[in-house]
Amino acid sequence: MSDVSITIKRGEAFALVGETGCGKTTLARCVVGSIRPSEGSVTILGRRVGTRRKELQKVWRDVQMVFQDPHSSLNPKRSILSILETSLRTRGVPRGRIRDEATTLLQRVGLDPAHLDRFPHEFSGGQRQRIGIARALAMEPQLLVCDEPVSALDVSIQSQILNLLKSLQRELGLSYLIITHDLAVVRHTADRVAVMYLGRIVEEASTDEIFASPRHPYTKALLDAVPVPDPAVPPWKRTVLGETPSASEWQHGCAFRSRCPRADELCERQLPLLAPMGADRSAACHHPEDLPEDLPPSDGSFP
Amino acid sequence: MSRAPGAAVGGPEAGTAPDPRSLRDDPPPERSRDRRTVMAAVILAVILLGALLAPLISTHVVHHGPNDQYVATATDEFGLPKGPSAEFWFGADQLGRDVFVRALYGVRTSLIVATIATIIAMSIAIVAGVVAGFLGGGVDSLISRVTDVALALPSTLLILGLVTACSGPEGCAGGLIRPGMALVAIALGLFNWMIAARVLRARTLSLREQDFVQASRIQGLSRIQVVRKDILPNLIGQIVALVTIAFPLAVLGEASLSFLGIGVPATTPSLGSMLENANRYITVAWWLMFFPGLVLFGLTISVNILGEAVRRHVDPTGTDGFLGA
Repeated sequence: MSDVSITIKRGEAFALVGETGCGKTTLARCVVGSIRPSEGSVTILGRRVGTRRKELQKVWRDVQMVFQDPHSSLNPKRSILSILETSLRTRGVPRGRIRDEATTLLQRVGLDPAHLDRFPHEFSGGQRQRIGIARALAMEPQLLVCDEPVSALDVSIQSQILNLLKSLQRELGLSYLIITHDLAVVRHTADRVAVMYLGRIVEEASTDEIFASPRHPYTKALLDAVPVPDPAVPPWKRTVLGETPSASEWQHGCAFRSRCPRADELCERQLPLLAPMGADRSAACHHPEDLPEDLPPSDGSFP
Repeated sequence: MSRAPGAAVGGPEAGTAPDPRSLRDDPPPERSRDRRTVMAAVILAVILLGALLAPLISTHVVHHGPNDQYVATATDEFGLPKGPSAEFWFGADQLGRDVFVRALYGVRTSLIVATIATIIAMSIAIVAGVVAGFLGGGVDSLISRVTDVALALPSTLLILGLVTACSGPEGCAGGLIRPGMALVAIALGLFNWMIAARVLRARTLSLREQDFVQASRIQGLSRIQVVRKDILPNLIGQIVALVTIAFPLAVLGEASLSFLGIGVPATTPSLGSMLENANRYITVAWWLMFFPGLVLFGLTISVNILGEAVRRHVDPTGTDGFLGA
């Protein structure tokens, strides 16, 4: 992962998309401080975050995480109350108030507070994810890092969890860093999106702009790859060919050039840097896609 | 045990009717597993009660002490021991001592020695395994190599040497360790922790990578708190499993040492020394071998079967597997 820089505004839901292995999770772990960045820093609410435990403890008050797999993110040997108690005690809630606070938390995430003394294996995947969210909320964070919050869940449950995240954002003024490979999740929840490819951000823009007019060819390919639930539409408009090259093979130039339909010898020579393209958006490409007004009509043929 | 009785599941004995529950992958039918567990519990309870109440039984029920010799009633005119009878339930040995009473006292010796040895072994294993698995890196390498070396040592030989060296009248380590049950227990414990340490290290390694450990760190728990709340509770299944393996091993180890004549002092009855003694009289007095052997067998196998049941109870979801591979 290199030269990644993102800024999340207060109350904003920021999505990070990209394919497997492009560094999304690494970035998330850096933000919560469980991986030390080899260079660079994380700044939260204007404070630069160090790597010492004392400093990290302050970070954890403001930044919490929701994990991908609701089965491995809850200790099977601890009751829900015990799981929430850890966070509440760290926040300094007195012993006598813990049960009340935990009850409030469960209600907030839409679970029955009567289940406080149950153990994780008694809950379904969606319920477990709600418990994971409650655990994060127990610290009263400002920023919630959600690493693939719904990818391990049934499609029917996914929207419930996403709606919960949205309503929590409204009620508590939370900011989100949502890490996902699912563009439907992005469209549903995010205000801004950054697209990553091989450890670099290739495009960043508001959700509406990205979906309406992607500038980077990789973003466009991602959007084109979303299946359309209509049999009349041919399955692919255009695909990116080949496999993602390994980050270690890549030496110079644009990392995407080996798969890019627009690549030329400039792309081979020079690494495109993230540059502003239009108001409040940027992309890293020498030959960005045109804006939709003059987009050539797609021929709709199979590749 | 942990599930409703009568909820027989799948398996070849469940008949031909398609049973939706047969999709669950419990290996043996539960009813027979429960029967086995109950039988093991009864056998163990009888043996434990007998050992616990050995002094009472010997004075009030059979009226024989463990070292009393009844040459007149228990041996025949040629001086050979007599077999099981109404007075000597398990028969008598060549000195006219009651094998039943001696077996009860022998179980006491076995249990005390094996308990101390298991506690020592498991304490070393838990500390070594959890520290190595949780801290990783150089500490892990160091502990793992020490474990490998300890495993490579010929433990029987070293236990023999240790026990022999300390069996002198003044003991060893400046008189700190004196001959007797404690010495045997320590020697057995020091050479019985390696496998358990490896299992616990492997399990800790995999637990450490679980998201809930990550989550606990983010909730502000220190490493020690994480070990206490997230690692140790998830090791209980493995620890119980390992105890049920280590404990019978210690019982057999003590018996082996006594069989070789270097275990507990000769005046303390022990199952091992009784078997060693029986070895010489096997052609004329089968009961000398049979009854202590039966008790030893019953003790070890019932602990094993009960351990399996406890394991299932501690880990009802069955996700940990046998040793949490």
